[in-house]
Amino acid sequence: MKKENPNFKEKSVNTINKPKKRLGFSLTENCTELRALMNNSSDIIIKYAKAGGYDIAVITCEGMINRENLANLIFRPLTERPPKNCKSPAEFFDRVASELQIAQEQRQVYDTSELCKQVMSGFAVILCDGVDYGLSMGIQGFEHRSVSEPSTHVNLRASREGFNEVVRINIAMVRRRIKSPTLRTQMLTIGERSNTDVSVCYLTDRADVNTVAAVIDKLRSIPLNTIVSSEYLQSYLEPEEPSLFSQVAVTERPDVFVSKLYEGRIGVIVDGTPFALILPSIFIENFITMDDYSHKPFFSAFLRSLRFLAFMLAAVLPGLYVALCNFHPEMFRSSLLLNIYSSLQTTAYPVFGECIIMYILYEIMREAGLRLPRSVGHAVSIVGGLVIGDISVSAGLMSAPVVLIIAATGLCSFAVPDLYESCMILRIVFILAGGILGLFGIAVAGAVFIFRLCAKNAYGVPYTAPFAPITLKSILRDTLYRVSWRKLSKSDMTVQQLSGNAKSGEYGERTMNDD
Amino acid sequence: MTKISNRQLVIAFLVSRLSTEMIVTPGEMIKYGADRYWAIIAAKLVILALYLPVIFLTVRFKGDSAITACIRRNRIFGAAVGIVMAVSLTLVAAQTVMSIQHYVTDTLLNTIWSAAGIAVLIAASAYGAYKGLSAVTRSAVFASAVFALLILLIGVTMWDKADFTYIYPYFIEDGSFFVKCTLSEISSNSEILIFAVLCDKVRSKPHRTVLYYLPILLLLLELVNFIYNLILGPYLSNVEYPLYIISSLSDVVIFQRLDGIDAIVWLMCGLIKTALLIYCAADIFSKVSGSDKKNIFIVVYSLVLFGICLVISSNRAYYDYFTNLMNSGIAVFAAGFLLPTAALIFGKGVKRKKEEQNETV
Repeated sequence: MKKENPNFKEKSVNTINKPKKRLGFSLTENCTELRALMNNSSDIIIKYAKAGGYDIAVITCEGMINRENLANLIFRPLTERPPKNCKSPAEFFDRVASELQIAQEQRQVYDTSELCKQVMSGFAVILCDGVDYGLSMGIQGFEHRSVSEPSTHVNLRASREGFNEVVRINIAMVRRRIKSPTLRTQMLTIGERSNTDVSVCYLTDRADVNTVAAVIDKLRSIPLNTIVSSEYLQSYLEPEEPSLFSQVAVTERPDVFVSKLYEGRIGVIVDGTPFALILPSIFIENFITMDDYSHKPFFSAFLRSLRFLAFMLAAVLPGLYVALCNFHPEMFRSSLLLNIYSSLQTTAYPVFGECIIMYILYEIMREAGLRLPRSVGHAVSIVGGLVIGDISVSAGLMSAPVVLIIAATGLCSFAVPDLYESCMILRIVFILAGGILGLFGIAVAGAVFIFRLCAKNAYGVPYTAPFAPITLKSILRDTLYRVSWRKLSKSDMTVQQLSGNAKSGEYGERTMNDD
Repeated sequence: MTKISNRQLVIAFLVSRLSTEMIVTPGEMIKYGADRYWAIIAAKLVILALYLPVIFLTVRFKGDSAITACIRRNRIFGAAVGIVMAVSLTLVAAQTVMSIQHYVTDTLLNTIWSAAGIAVLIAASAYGAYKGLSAVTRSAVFASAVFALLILLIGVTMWDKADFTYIYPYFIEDGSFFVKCTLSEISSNSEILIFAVLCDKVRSKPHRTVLYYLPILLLLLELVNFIYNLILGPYLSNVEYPLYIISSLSDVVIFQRLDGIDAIVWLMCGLIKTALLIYCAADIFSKVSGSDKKNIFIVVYSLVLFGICLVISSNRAYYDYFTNLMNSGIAVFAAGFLLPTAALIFGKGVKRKKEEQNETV
């Protein structure tokens, strides 16, 4: 009979949440049990002391607490001015909890698993001999990165603040921007082993109640043991069907996060990562940046249209070039056609093969430049730009137009960074379709892509809204064109108001007129 | 159940009808001059009359489609109506697929094997139908936007080639041609079949779809016809695909001709129309059988459609017979007018019967 390797039984290694065992009256036994439960881990510190004539123990996790607070807020009051004239340990402990203002965040802990969780979250837990519960004090003080400029979604005129890895600091940054009682943050603990803090943020008067409930239900049912990044949750918050486009947006910027909450969306902040999730997300949002709201409307419209054009070029241009060269050269202008064909005459491969090879080389160069240290990255750029780009043309391996097309396509794809991955796949699909079936292939691939895009609903909101189904009011308000702030401020619009949105359950189409 | 707005269905119908218009083969049906302007108007009036039974049906049975209404009254009668409707849809779908295939081989890719072309087209359309009605109707918005862009490009780039003497309002010299042209316009309106099936998928007031669709279509067709006349003039009857020819004459800064773009737009419109037809057929089978496994019906129906297309396109005689049959407008008249009328009358009959029974009691 085949024996199961116990190391692979992920669920069984969890010793934190189950079994739940109530704390006993003996301090020594409680501490011993805790040690055993934590496998005698060296970072768990148990400091025994005497306060008011009773034996106490202060349990902390190394590096997770603020030592100054531990000394000033816990040890000093307990040892220098403990509650006096107590008849029993229980009375002493009750008075410690009520009379000594040790920490703002203070709660009682009754079982060992909760005790472990609190200690590992940076709380200090006080146990007392003869009392069957502990007092947990919030004196967290672990090292973390300070608030700094986000590395992604860099903007010119928007805020310079970015989220960091601490969920509480991130929530504070959101709160600073929405000083309204309607902002609700709901803290969840997810990951059976990592016990990661996840905060769900929304505006109670804007977000749809059913969507909030659906998101929280999905988060609670995530079966992962460990969560170290928000992307772990992202896939669970999206529909199960695999898709090129994400219906959950990711942002490192609190200003973007807040503006999305105003639009009735739900935000998810995960402890340990500066990338927060926003849902539902729609397609057009990929072309909108915070800077667009700082510029004049006409300039914003120009920039957004440019980004959309860049996305289209990034996805279709190489495929279109291959299709036109191979099947429909008559579409080129005569002079351009002559240039293209003269360069194609000198190369070794057909244009289809050239495009594929060049594109793969480009992606390898990009990947190599991304992972290497910066100093070496420059070398990659030189090798890529000069050797592969220039020499391959002069050696007759590649034609100059193909190098230009792939380079331009690469540049275009960086104009819409959120869609880079989708663009990458689409480009290959269109190159293959154009290379095999010409414009016919491009049209069929395009139709299939549009069918797929249009079928997507993110929590009842059509992914292609407000264009399909059409909501003219939204299209003219803030899509590729943005009206001025004077007009924007006259009316609010949430994702729930977009045409075709089904607020709950049925993903049917509905127009505002129908309502 | 997925419901769409009447606005979405209007756009889907426009795209569907434009796909037919983009491959109109003038020949004996369309001549240069004023005839077609009047024929379009006359055809639209006739089509409005043809739509009346479906409109009355949806109003009387509170948004029900003909098949649903018939099935609710009598399952066998409903099944019979459904089968006739499905056959008509199949004929229209086959005609659409084969016309796309011919267009592709004529203009884009003459090296493609006919069966492979048909298979690719049906597979893409079936995928659209599989993704659902919302996906198809939403896609129509993008296709219509690209079509509008194409017309704008043609308008801008062909302005210098327009000759206003071509639109001199000649009187109708030959009455038979006017009738032929009108009949051709009527038979091209297969959207009536789609509406007869999908009216129960419209969220509210499905009859408004027709009231929005027909006037917009009238204007659009008149505009397209105006462009044909303005640019092609007397050559209109000699060309096979007028819009394609006009596109090939267009010259924008980047491309020397726009025929490739025209073909892409038309292919997308054609695929959307085919996807709608496949969805409708699957919906009928789903209603008649009482099963909600629509995706299985889509796959099976697509395979059947593929077989029918192969058989018809395998023999020139079959194909000519089939084309003549479809040009007579029999499918549109039978399934778009007669069936809804029958459903309407049958519904009344049931009501009268009940009233008589009540009186007897």
